[in-house]
Amino acid sequence: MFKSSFLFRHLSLQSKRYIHLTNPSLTAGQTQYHGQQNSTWWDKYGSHVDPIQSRVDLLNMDDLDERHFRPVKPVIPTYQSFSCFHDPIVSRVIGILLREGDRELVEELMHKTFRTIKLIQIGKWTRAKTDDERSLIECNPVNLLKQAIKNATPIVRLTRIAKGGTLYSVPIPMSPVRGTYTAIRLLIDSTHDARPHDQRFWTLFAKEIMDAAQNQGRTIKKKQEIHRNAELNRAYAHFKWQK
Amino acid sequence: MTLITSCLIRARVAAYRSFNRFYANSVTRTIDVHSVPQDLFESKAEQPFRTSTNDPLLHTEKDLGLFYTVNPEDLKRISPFGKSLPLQFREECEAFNETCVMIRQPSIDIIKLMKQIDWNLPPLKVVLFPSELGVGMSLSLFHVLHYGLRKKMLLVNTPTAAEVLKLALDATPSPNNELMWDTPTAASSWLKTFAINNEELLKETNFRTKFTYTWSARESTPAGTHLLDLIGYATERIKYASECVGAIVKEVKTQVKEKNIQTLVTFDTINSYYGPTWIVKPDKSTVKPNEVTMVKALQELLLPDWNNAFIVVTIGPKGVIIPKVREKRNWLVRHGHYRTEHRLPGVLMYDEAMTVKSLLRTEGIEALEPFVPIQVQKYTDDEFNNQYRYYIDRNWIQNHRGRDEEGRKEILFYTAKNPYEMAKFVGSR
Repeated sequence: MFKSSFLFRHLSLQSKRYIHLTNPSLTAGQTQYHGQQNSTWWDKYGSHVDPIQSRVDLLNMDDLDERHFRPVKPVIPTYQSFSCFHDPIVSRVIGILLREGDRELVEELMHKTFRTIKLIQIGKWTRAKTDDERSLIECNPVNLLKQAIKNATPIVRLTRIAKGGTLYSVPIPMSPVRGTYTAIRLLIDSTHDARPHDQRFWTLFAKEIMDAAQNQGRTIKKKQEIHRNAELNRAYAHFKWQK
Repeated sequence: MTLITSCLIRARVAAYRSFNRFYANSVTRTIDVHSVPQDLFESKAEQPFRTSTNDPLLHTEKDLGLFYTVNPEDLKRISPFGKSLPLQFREECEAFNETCVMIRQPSIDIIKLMKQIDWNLPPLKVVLFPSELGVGMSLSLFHVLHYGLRKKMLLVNTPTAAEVLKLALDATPSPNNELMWDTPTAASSWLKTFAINNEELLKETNFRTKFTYTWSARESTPAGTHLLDLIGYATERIKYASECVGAIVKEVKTQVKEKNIQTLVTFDTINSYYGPTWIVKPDKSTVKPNEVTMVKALQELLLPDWNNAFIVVTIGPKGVIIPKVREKRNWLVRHGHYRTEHRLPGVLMYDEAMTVKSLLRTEGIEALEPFVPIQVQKYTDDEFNNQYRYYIDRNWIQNHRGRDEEGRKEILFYTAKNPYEMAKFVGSR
């Protein structure tokens, strides 16, 4: 009797420990269930093999692959997709647009954006008369998005460095990851500013992407303003390496 | 460590390779995924996915699953306000610069029935009902309508039957009858549709009214007025539009037999006529559909007291079509984190079974009986392949992987051959 009640208490404690796993809005990384890399919790995966990360690897996997015989590490993040339509840059945009873990909503927004772009571009494509005209029209929305991000990426940014009791804005080169993030951020921000306000998000976002892909529009203006500010503070650039 | 063990495994395999022949049945064999024979998609690629005949009068069962191009003039006449086709489909048609509709089994069946029946009997009712959401009923109905237009039948077409019941601000109390509610703008757009659909036919047959209609103490329309003039009068004096719908229905029902005009009556989403509406009276009770003047007039078309007509009717899925009475509570989602609580339009979620009984309810079945039910199915394999090839032909699938066999299989897997799901999925690829 005593023993069983002890066991029961123990079980309830255990369930309390993992109660947060019942929250469906957490992703696998947030649950802390698998632990984090370079921590003691991660050490239990010392003998585990790396998981398959891409579709090509899965299709070309040998039957004698050691993943068949040995324990495999979990795939984090869980939204990694084996779909042949999966694109990392699109999922990056989705991740930046995400609010309160409502990924389905944001995916729908992205789908509608791409559909709007396609409706416009393919409308032009079908109405074009010669093949030369057609070859100039880019219809693929993902390519347009990539081009827009490339055009909107600033190459420098400002950071604040304290020197002699004053803060200086110092231009420093932008890292590629941060550059991509900034470009997507600029695209989204200029969409939020866009007019008319009664239009849907996907309509305005599609327009911004198509503008930025042609090196036009407010997104590019914002990028140029970042560059201009860096140019204004050019005199302090040496503070990066002079202490 | 992992590297060493993997090398060990490889080495062991190499060492035992000479025994592989001996252990042929027990040793795991390496299978190349691409060497597995796939289904015969490539051989069908040479066959056409469009018909040579764009005239629905000539369509037979040989054309099943193939696309035909709708003549833009016919399209303009059938749906002058673009209501006969779904919005998403129309957008795509505009991008493709052509309107192509797939020829499918239900519409072919209905056309066959129309050729066979005895037109002296009371009108035959055909009820199209869905097997799933977004299965293509409106497009099947459009094909039938196009057939009727080319056959020079009188089209009495109600493209979106539910719309009248949802426009609460449009409704006003009827001047003549206290118990009834008028819907002037909806009625006038119905009248305009009727006039544009049948303009030539009405002029050819010199269709004139048989009865005198008194709108008020001063205004009336004498017998012998041309139907187009009557409609022109009602669309100008918009106050009398919903009663004019009743007048048109009455004239059509009485004169179609003696003038020997075959009539095609169609309703899209008829089951909204047997549910609640969004129109609310001053005492906060809800108006029933048969208290709306226009709806009551149109319901008389379904009665078996006339002939020389054919009725095609579709019933829509419940949560989407039958207007649900709005509540204050509905703004709040109680359990936001449970995905099951989200009710998005166009997502495959059902309140009840997709059967005629649960969609039409008892009132609907009593009103419509006897009828011929025809279920609209999802795409077959051939239809799916044709649709896929049509999208590629129109350059709609932009992702280069979507054009490969692998992408085709993924689309097939993801959409499960549901037309609407397919349009949604392919729309952003």
